[in-house]
Amino acid sequence: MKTFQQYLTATEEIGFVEACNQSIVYASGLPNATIQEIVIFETGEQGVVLSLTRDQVEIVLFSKYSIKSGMRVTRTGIKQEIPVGFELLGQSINPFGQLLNTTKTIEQPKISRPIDISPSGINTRKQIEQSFETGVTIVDMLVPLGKGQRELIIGDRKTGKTSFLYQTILKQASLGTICIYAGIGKKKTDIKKIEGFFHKAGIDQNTIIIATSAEDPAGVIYLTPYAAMTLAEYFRDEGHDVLVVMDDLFTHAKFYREIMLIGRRFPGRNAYPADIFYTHARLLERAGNFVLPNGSVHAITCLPVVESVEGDVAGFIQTNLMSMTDGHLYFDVDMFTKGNRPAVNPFISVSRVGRQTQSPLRLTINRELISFLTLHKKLENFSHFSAEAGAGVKRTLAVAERIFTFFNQSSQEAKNLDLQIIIFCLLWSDYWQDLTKMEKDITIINQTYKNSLSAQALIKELINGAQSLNELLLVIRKQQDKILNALGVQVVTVTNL
Amino acid sequence: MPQSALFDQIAMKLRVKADVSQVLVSLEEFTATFFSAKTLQEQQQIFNKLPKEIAYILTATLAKEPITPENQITIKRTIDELANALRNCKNIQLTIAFQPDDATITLFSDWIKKNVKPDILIDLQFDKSIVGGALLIAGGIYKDYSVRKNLATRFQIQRDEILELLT
Repeated sequence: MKTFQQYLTATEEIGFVEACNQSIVYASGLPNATIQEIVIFETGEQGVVLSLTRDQVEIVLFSKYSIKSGMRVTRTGIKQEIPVGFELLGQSINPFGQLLNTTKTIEQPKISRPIDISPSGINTRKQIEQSFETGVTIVDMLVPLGKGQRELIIGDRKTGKTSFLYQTILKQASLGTICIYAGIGKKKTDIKKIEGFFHKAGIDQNTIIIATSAEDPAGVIYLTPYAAMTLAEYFRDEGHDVLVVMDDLFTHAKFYREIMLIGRRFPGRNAYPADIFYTHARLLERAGNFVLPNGSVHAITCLPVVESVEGDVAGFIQTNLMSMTDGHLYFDVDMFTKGNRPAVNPFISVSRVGRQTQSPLRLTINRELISFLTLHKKLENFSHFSAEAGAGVKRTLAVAERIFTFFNQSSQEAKNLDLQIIIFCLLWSDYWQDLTKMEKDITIINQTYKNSLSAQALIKELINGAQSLNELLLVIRKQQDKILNALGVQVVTVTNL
Repeated sequence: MPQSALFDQIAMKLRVKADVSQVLVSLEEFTATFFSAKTLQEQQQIFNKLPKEIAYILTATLAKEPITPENQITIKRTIDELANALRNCKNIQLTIAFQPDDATITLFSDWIKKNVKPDILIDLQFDKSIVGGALLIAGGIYKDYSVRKNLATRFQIQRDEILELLT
């Protein structure tokens, strides 16, 4: 960035600050200023043109330091941009591409891209066809996602949303996807925690954290998700699949509301400005499955997060986001208190495009599970009268308990899709009757699968060889001992005396 | 007298932005005397602080239309409108490297009034660092015709030759 004097000499346009209200500045002059153009004040502070009136230019400040009336300001002729490049992988940056850790230095990327652009047109898009693994069993089995999907993560505070995001990033980064985490107005300690997690999991070379803390100016916080999307678009154009996590858009909406109310815009519902829907829609529309000019297909999968209050999913921002995404995962506070981890409610959660990416086998499992869990939900009321319940009801309740135990997983763990299918088949064929043994066996299977290439090959062979769920179940029943031995589980054979 | 005609007459005689502030103060003092028992002469004395030509215009206008309890509200409204028009006068900020004398200011002002617009004022600034020439700011447009800029450009283009000469 050049100095104020250099820009003044280059553009030959000057303005004077007439009024300043927190992060909004009104300046006279600058006759050729354009919307979204960066302006620079004589003290070196920067801002962006928000709107133009007959006599004045409305500027949103990017600085914490106050601007005084009478100060000089000039145009820069450039739009908001962020440096993009592979140099940023493994770094934590702000929306201007500067490192959050000021003691560190990296090679500066040579290319910059505008932060806020229009989404690509329909001719560059392709139907979502590839499956997106989250590593979370309940989601991969019941609410499957596709690459390029926009799935809203919604739930109350402390219901495991962030843990789910960690698991998904962990899984995707290990598969080679570039993961961008956009922390919007987060606590600095939270940003540090995320950095620590990525580093500890060894995935920091495939991740970028773009974050703003709550103490940053509202104008900068507002830019965070847009900057993250610009980075994602760069990596997509370079031939990578990208995952963008936006944590969270409810905070983003609140900061946008703050700017607009200070800017004297007419308040609408819940005091949000009239264009709040457009603000989020044009951001999320930049995600999707794209055909690049060279014919290759690469996706930007987006997981925006929104917080609900007391389980109310009908809030203004929440419903707006639901309508502009391809489904949502609802984190249920009741399920969380019951001990389900992750507490995803499969009955309220929706995936509009994920199922079309599933293989016939996974689709059958998905249907079987959904219809079984629906039946279980109906029968759940009878669980209080277990003594009087029939054998069929008792069996359904017992299997459901095993299924929910199978869905439980730690927040640091991302499971393989094939392995999930095999464990499900073992469970479905009633191999386990005892819950404790089942939990113990699943831990062993996970461990063995991770370390044994032969186990991985066997499972792959089993799944690729099966045409349908029934066929797979048949094979597993026949070769149960062999499979379990390969997965490290000791098979106890009960012989009739 | 209509406010626009009076404004045109006064604007023609105003040279720099500081003059407007002086006129505005006098007009305010004058309107404050409306409800007091001051004589016309006492009222007119207020304008003596202003440049002679402007003071003459104002006193002559007042002499034509003496203030009476009946018309003082109308006169006050005219004066308020005049003050507003003066406040909204456009100006050109001119930064030069020397403190100009009265004749130079008049020369600048007359040229601008003749070649640009009669009601435009000069906001005169003094900055030694520009060495010579002038900086102009009008309507958000910034033009640097200073010697400082010329020298900087020259140093950039002929840096090696100048360094050679100096060594």
